[in-house]
Amino acid sequence: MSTREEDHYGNWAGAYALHALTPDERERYEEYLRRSEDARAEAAELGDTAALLAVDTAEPSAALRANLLDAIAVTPQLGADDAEPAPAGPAQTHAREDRVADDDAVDREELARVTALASAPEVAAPSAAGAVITPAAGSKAARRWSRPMALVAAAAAVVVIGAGIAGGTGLLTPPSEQQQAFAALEGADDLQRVETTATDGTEVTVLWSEDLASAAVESDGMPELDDDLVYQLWMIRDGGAIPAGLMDADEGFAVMDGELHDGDVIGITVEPAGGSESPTTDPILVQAT
Amino acid sequence: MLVTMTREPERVERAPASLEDLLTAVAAGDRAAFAELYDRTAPRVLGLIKRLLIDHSQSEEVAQEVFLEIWQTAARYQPNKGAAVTWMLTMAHRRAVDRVRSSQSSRDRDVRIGIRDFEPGFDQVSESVEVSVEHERVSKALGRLTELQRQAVKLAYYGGLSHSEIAAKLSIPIGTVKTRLRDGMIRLRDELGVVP
Repeated sequence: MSTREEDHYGNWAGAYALHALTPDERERYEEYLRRSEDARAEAAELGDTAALLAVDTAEPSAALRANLLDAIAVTPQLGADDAEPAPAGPAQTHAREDRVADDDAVDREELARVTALASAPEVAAPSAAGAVITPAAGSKAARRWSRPMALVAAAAAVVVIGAGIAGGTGLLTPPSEQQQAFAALEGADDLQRVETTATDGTEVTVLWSEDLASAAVESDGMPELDDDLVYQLWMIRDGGAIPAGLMDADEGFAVMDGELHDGDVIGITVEPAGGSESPTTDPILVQAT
Repeated sequence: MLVTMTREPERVERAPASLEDLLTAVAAGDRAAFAELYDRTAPRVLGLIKRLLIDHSQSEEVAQEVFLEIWQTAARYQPNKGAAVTWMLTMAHRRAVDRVRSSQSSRDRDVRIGIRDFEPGFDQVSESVEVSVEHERVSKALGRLTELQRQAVKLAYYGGLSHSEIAAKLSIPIGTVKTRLRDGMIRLRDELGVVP
């Protein structure tokens, strides 16, 4: 069998080292590498050889360096193991017990019960609106936080919808989706919560559940912002920040839009009203999950 | 009581750290080490990316992705498996190739690739003696390949072409491309003295 494999994969080593395989072939070849020590050794040697071919140099702009140093200040690092998420923050407790004595827990349950009767508005698929919104590729913000553009556009679409829910007037905006999502999150078996402090000294609790792929931010003391500013939430991953909705200081909490991935970092920034596609200011809070 | 002058022993007259040491420090979240690592490798990383993408601002975008990935995944670098610069350049090449293949401007690639040969792509500012010597060595080693091997290796590494694109371009079967790439790389490995 291994002979047949060698016949099949034997001459792929060069193409692999030169990144000339298709993604699918690359994956299959890497599986083969896990099975063959000889092939692994050859792949490593040819990979080293390929890197020696990189003899050109080019002068990077000063902006690239500045952007990177900004970015790493808020970009989490991964562990040595692929699957391992970034180390979780300190002071995690299970909230179920905490919440029993919470004086507004009843109100929340009541709200959730009432609003459950109303049908929750469907959130439009990001891709539908994503095509319309073009991120400002050359903008300061876009350079500041690198992000595959398609994802930024898709996530930006989500935040537009999220703005209507979280930042609404309370008249037409049903609290149901937020309330239900918050209640669901609080009931999650794997709920994590971290109490932390924003740069302005405000106490903020970050809650998340990997099972539900959901996260929320809760704070009673967020200072009111001028009308032309909003608190915006972000999920930071792969070196970029994905818009995850706005937070109304009055509301006291916000369930984040979008799916939380393992190892995401939660961020809050102050943005112009309506939110931004990428952060335009330094975060007031950064919390690893 | 008099305050004694304190010195921070870490900061006094340090010998220049190796790239491996810097990368290890980066893995521990050392941002100063990252800045130094960047300063010492960015021209080469960007040079490689630009070789594939040509466009400078696009190349900088990819370089930014690469260095962020380096920051995020530095803990995965294993010093016993190879040099830090190799690890970084491999990552840069993969990212550049991904960009080339997804880029809308890829239609320009055939033209570009057709025109370019293995000419130096230096920005005069950042060429170091070290790089220049290496350049010479690589040029020489590439000269030892057969014309067909060299063509295939260069299309793949400097052009970011996949084996099927190379096959189409040279009108040869994919299997032949794979064989040429492997034979060419093995020859290069031996010429350049890469030791397992």
